[in-house]
Amino acid sequence: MRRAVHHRRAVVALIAASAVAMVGCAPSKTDASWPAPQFAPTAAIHREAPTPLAPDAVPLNPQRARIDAIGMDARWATLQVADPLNALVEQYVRAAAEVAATSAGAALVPQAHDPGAGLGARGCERGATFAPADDVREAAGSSVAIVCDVVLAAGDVVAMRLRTVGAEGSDDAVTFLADRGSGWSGDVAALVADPSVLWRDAVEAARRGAGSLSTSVIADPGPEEAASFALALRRAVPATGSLAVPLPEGFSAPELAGLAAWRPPTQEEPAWVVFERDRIADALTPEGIAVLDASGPMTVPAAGPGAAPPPCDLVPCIAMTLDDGPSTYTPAMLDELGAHRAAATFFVLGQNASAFPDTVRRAAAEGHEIANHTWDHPDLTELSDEEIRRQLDDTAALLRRLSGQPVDVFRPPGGFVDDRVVGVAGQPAILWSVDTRDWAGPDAGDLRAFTIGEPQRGSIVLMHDIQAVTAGVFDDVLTGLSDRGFSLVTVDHLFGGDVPAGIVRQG
Amino acid sequence: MGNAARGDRWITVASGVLLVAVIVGLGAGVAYVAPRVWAATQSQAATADTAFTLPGSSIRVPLDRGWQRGPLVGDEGGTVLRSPDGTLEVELRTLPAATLEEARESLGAGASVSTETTASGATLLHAPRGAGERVGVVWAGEGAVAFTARTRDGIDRDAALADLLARMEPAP
Repeated sequence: MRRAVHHRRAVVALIAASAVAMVGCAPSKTDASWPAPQFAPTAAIHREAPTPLAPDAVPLNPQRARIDAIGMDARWATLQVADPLNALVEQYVRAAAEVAATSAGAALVPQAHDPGAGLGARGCERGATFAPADDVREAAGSSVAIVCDVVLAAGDVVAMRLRTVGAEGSDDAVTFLADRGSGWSGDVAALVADPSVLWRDAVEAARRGAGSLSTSVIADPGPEEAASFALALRRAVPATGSLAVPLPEGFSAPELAGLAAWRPPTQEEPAWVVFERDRIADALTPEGIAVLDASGPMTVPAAGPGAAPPPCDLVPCIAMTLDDGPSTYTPAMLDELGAHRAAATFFVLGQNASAFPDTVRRAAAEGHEIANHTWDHPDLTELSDEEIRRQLDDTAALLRRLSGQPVDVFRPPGGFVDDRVVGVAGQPAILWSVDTRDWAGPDAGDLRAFTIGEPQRGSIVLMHDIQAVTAGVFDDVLTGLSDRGFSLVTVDHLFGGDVPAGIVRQG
Repeated sequence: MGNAARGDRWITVASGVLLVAVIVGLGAGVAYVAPRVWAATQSQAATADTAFTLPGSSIRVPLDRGWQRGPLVGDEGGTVLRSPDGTLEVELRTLPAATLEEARESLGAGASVSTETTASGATLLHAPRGAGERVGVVWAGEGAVAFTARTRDGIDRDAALADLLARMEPAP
């Protein structure tokens, strides 16, 4: 019994000795308050592209031009209000189309398509400028596809990204901006005054992400690297407080070359470097600061369909003309024109304008053209010079007062016109190339089919906004014409603002 | 009485077995722990910024105030550095590599070895090895220093390690 007690004491002693030994091995005293060195904050590298906005975040005029001869399908959009951004966007599309035309050995001529062509789907499709190139080309069903995205709509600033995916692997993109507060517009690269600052930050972010242990100073880019990065900057996506730049495919730098974990961006796995505004403020232009500071609800206004008309050298334009109104049908037809972003020319009778002055004001405010159709629809060839002048001058005076527009063209009632009438009028006499004869009581289906199927590029289409049958089919007609690829513009725009003198029948 | 004798004998045998087990365990523990205890007692905290050069190496290693330096168990010329907060431990050994390729092969990490240049112009090879551990070599033409860096509790101490490596340079 005593021996057992002795053993127990020995065991306890050994355990105590072990504990003492462990205590001896315990870590020595540390300083938890040590300010451990940290890498300087950098931009962030993401493998996912930024998310574009829904196209309806901004009031836009959606556009589309499909030209089979050059294998191009172009979808883009412009602001509804007149803005220098629209010219930048159209210039980009035009340049890409000219390249496609040269490549195809064909002329760049806007093309109208057969009914059912499906070209009513227009404008930006969300995410198209970030999708794989093959998907973009396949969706377009053409060898050259132009697509767009709205990427920023904040305060006074709107940014639109355009991309051209070409037949031989070419893939170009650029982001255009408009700051309606300052009136500035340009491409996104112009927001950066010193791209080398962003380059170095991108390399720093890349090497940190790849586990670099070097703190060596990052060299400025060489000429080739600088050119490649400048191209990438044109494709950047601005946001409130940051700028996302797609790193060029194969992006590398001496500081990255030896890093085993660095995966240069590829088409399948792109890389975006996101620069916070405050970190790159010194490298931005004043415009860049203003754009990245833009915040809050977008202020770019909506406008009627005639405010910023499409480029008729890219899209097939026709002029829809509506005679003898206004009438009680006209407001609904204006609604339909607005919904289709289609402009028209109203050849208004003076007596009806005086009966529906608000309708005339509204049509003018929405960008439609208000033109002279005499006071009460006489055959001008039967009138004296003085009577002709009174018919036209009285009407023009009223229309100018109601519309605020110049009234520079007229349409002789019934199309009855001769050189004397034209001479007395002193204005171009606008006739038509497509007479729908909607005044003659046609079947609605026939009227619809004829009006959709008959026009060709440059047609001047005659309808009447006093006819019930016309009002009944008008929305279908607009849908059908849009589906064929047509853009509806005013007579004035059909001629680029310079309507020829004399009798005019066709654009 | 017979039962009491049997119980006493059982306690004696059990105690003996336990005693042997404890002695064996303690012996092994002491064999493992003793050098470390010894190393810990030899570890010294730098009271000011200082620098040292490993035997056989031509690379000068800076040491900031508060870092602890002690001998490396199992490597007479090696040393172990511990950050002031104890979260980063860096073992340094002289590496007898005549060429950069030999230095690279010494890491045995294959394609995952990164090659960089430190701020002082030395070549830095490094690779991850397990969670919170990096191995590498600072190579400055002749004589190289191999390092194994470990962090505690998953804390990221890459910047501290990079800072330490950045200031290693060929000894004047």
